[in-house]
Amino acid sequence: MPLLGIHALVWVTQWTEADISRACAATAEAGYDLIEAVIFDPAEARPEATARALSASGLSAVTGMALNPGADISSPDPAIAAAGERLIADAILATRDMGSRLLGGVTHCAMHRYAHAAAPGTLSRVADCYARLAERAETAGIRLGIEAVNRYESNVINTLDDAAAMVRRVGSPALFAHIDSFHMNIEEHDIAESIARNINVIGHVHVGESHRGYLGSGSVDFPTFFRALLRAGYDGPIVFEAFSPAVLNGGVADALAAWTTHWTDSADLAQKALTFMQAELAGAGHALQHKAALPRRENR
Amino acid sequence: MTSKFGVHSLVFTSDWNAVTAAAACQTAHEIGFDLIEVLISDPTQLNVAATARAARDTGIGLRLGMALSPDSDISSPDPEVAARGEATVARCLEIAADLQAPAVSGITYAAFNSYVAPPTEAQRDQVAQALTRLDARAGELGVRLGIEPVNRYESYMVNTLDQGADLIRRAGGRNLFLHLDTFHMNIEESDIAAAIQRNAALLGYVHLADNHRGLLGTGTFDLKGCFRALCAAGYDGDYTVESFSPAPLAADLVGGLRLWRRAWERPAEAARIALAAMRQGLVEARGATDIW
Repeated sequence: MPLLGIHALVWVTQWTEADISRACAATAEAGYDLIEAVIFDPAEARPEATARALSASGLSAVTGMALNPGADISSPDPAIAAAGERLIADAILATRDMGSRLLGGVTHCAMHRYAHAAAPGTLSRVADCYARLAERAETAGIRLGIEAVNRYESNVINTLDDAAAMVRRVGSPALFAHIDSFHMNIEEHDIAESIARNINVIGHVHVGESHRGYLGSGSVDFPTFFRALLRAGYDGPIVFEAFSPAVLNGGVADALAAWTTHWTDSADLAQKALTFMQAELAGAGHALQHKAALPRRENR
Repeated sequence: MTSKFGVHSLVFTSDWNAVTAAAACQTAHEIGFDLIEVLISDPTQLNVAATARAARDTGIGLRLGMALSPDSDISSPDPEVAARGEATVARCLEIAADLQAPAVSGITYAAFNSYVAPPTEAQRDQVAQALTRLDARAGELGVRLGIEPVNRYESYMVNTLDQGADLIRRAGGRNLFLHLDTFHMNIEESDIAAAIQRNAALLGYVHLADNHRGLLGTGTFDLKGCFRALCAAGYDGDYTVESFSPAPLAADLVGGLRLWRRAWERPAEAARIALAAMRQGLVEARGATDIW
């Protein structure tokens, strides 16, 4: 059974010491194994407090991040690209210090609405940068993810095929493709097929509903999603993600275009999401076993 | 009213002039579409005479689409910007009357823009009041004005059918209607069929697109379920396909719509595939929902 986790922004909008204890305690209380912490600024990642809270609550952690327009490895401006590479390098160290072995997120470009297509040569510059970062990740003993996000959040990597192609191009075991059902619901042609053909590079999974609210209350085809993961033998972490202006401060909510309050009670949301994911995984597991246990038919 | 099938002008071109208008109308007509939706990028620049001629020469019907911009936004707290937005919508309504198009619809309540904060209650009231005036103007002109809920990244205030219906009720107009778009609904609605059913009385126009806005029928959107819900709700208005690729579009449009992948190369082929899927979908849904 994969480890089930929850994204910190379901509980908190920053990562102060008080936020850290509150988020970890609430995560453990809701019954999760793991929390995904967001590294907004590696200098403010608070590794000691994070490690303390994790051990007090018996949780493991993964970390996530997103580049910004001033620090963007896809930028043709060398200074901005270098700032992006530095930010990821620092986040790799913060990840290690926080006790996480996995750093995912929008690492390929700034998480914002680009007004133009990526410049020619972007992919090769991004690949060169990932090659250098993969070495740093390996040295730090962590793995670095490339999250495929929708067209409004990246003009570089929107589909699982895009992310997987980048991982294969760089060819380092320290890199992985990071998938998210919210983004896949917008960008993929066939979610099950895409997971099946890229399973060997998928290292992290976000579970989000189509509108980023309660799981099961939108249009994502979760039975297809979870069956595809289990059928392919995925055994990495699975992290629930949802966003609401009820929790997030203005800047974060606005960056995510979270204008509508789909939920207000974090604990209720978290608990129901865990139950939902457990039920989906159990159902997918039964479906898989049932197929294997079919009686053999006589040839006619 | 019987449903007609349309195709969006951006399937063919983002540079709508006398030549491209004639070619797009001709191609759409030959493929078998009943109508074409012309996007009014800028009402002062649209070649109304050439558009009318292209439609008349091919016998194709017209519908009009629009989206307000940040400097012409009826939801803006800046009264001048808001007034420009209202004037822009009014001008588009006049163009619709001139072209004998039944309606203008799209992002008519705010800008097609990346907002940095959610709308306030005062802004909602302001837009409702502007829509009340625009509704009256539409009535005088004998055309209708549609509100298209779009996803969170393209605008605020109206992301769901319920939010659009609420705005229409606040405005209280008789010439306002909801314009559905499946691409946006796939992101924003909790239950598409239920939202259609709840808002059946206000539905006036439908955009069909797959989840990725590429070739219709090659994505994950439940087109069949959507057609059934619309038929069950008694919807008998028009259906227009949106299937976008950078291939025929100028760079600023590619950027605005964030079309980073080439979904297809040939507009006519994309349009033909879409029309086949639309016809099939509607026939099946009618078969499933007709009372017999």
